Amino acid sequence: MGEHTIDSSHRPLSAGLLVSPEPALSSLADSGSALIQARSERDQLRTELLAARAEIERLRQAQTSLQGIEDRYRALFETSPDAIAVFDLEMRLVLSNLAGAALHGYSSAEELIGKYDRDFIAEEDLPRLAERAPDLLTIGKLGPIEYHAVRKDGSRFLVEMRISTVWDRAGKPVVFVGVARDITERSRAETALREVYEFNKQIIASLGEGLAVHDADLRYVIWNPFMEKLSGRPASEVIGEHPLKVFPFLKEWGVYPLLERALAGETLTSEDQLTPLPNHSTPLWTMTRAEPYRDRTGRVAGVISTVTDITARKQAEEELRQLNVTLENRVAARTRELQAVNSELEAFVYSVSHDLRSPLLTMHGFAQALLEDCGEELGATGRDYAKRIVNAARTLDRLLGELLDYSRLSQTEVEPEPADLQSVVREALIGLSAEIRARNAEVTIEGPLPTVLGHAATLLQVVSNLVGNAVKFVAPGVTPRVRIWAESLGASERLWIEDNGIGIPPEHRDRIFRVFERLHTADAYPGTGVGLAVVRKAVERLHGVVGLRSEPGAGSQFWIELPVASRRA
Amino acid sequence: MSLRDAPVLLVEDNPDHVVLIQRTLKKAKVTRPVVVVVDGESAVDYFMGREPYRDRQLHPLPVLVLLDLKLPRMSGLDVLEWVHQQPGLRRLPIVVLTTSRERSDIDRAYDLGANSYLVKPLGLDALLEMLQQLNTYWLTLNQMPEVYSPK
Repeated sequence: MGEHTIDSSHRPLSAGLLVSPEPALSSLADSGSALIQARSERDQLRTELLAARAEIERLRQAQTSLQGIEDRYRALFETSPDAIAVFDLEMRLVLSNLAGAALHGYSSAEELIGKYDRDFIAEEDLPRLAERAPDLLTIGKLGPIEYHAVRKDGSRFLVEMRISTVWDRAGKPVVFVGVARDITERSRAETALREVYEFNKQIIASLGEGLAVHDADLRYVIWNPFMEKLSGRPASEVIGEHPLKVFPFLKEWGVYPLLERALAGETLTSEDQLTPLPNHSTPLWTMTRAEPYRDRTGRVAGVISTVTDITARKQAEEELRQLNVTLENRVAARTRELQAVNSELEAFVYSVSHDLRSPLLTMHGFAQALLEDCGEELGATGRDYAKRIVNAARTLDRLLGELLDYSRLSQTEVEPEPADLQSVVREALIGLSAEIRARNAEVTIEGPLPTVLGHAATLLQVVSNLVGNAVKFVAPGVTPRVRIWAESLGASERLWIEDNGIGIPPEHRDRIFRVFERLHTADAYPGTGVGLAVVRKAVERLHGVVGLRSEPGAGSQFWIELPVASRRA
Repeated sequence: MSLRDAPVLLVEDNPDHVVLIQRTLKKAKVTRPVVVVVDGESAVDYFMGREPYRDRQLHPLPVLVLLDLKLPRMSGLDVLEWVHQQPGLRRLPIVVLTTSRERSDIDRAYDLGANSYLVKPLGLDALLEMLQQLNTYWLTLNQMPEVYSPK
């Protein structure tokens, strides 16, 4: 566009107009006779003059019009936000707009005139630009090209420049016009964008799970390396394609419906899927998650789907399940073994106690018969021996009985039911009446006694054993005094059995509840060592607790604690 | 032999116990004869009148059976079960006399029709007391049913 402003093709016409009238004026003075001719010449001259006037007027108008065009272009030139400059063929600046001055840190355009283009270009960029310079003389333009520009104060900034060549009519270059713009900000923004892009790209590439992004037509936009590995299909074969075209089986697998629903706005997670992928020898377990991808306005613009390979987790789960099955089988087998051993033991105890009892009755019976029938012949020593046999048999019989009780407790399931302690204790005392009478014992019940959750027959055995002990373990010469009462503890009841016996040293408190534990010789206090073991076992079977408070020499207080019987509807 | 001479049948495999029980029955003044068989099969043979018990004059049906449970081959419970399948015999009073206190044995015996269940006590005094009571109740007070051999 600068070409027209500078073009001077009208100038020769204007010069010719100034010299042509001179010869016409001299011929008028030379010839008098030729007046008519002169008149006609004058007329002609007038005509010509008129024509010339018209021409001048036309030219003036043209010039005015040209001036108008020039003004408009100048206005454009001056108001352009881009720097515009004209360089001569030496690349010396001849004209610049104010933007050009401002861009390079000058206060006026005049300051720039006479400087060379290289004055505004960073040194390191000069060779690159010089290399491109010949383009100006061949194709007539250069750029857009970026380079670092230098301000008046030496500071630098990034510029994008376009240059065009202005030719004359003969096709010779006249001047060069450059337009430059500061792109520092734009470049910075572009760099930031590029970094964000790289950042995202690397994240997507490094994901340990498959990521696919679909556009609004569900065509693939992103297909990350994990997806490539998983599917065996490179991104180049997938990007831009529709899922059903590349992976027709997705519909059957239920993954495609997932994508469609995500496109409708849902976020979904698939079931664990067994996926027989052609590039894997064994099917993989995968889980697909699909959610809508929304643009800035919140409109669904596509779908983001992630595929997780959960094969390892599935295998671990399966192994765990197998292990559990194995373990359960082993536990079941072990339980069966134990049950077998248990019932064997049960049978053993049963048969031992019965089979032993039978000859025991015989021993005892014949020893007694011996005393009765042949007492005289035996003499005192013989009778003593026979009595010892009788006593030993009696002890053994009691032991067998208690052992049977104990083993029966371990084996039979006792269903707790309301049991009235009042009648349990009364019955126990009736059972022990012979013993109580023989020892001249005083037994008092501080009633009333409550009803607990237990089992009357089992509790009878417990109370009998405890009261029996209370009466038995008394220092020689002391009258046994036994006191029985109950203590309410809210949800449970404690039955106390207190004696004035020999007491139990603290270090023996635990031992006394074990089978065959005896603290005394059979001579001092006859017993089998099973009684308290039966008590503890029985109370535990009834979900209760047993304990004692005792001072050596100051008697013992045994207690059993059982849940209160709740009223049943 | 009339009904008055009908014996007490003791089914007991332990010869020592047989001696002690017989001795004590005598002390308890049981006047009826006591016939002893040593196992369940012999008991059935006796009820059926099979050899060597074919002669009912010599081997009349008992008025009371004292039955041990632990018997070789055919147990006391088997005997009870068999007896109660025999129409003419099932009313025969049978008292179990055993060493077993097992709940299952007691319940099973009654289920199979035992009339009483006694546990052999330790000591001759206790046994004597028990058999005296037995004599009073089952052999004196109790009204005897009429029984006959299965055909």
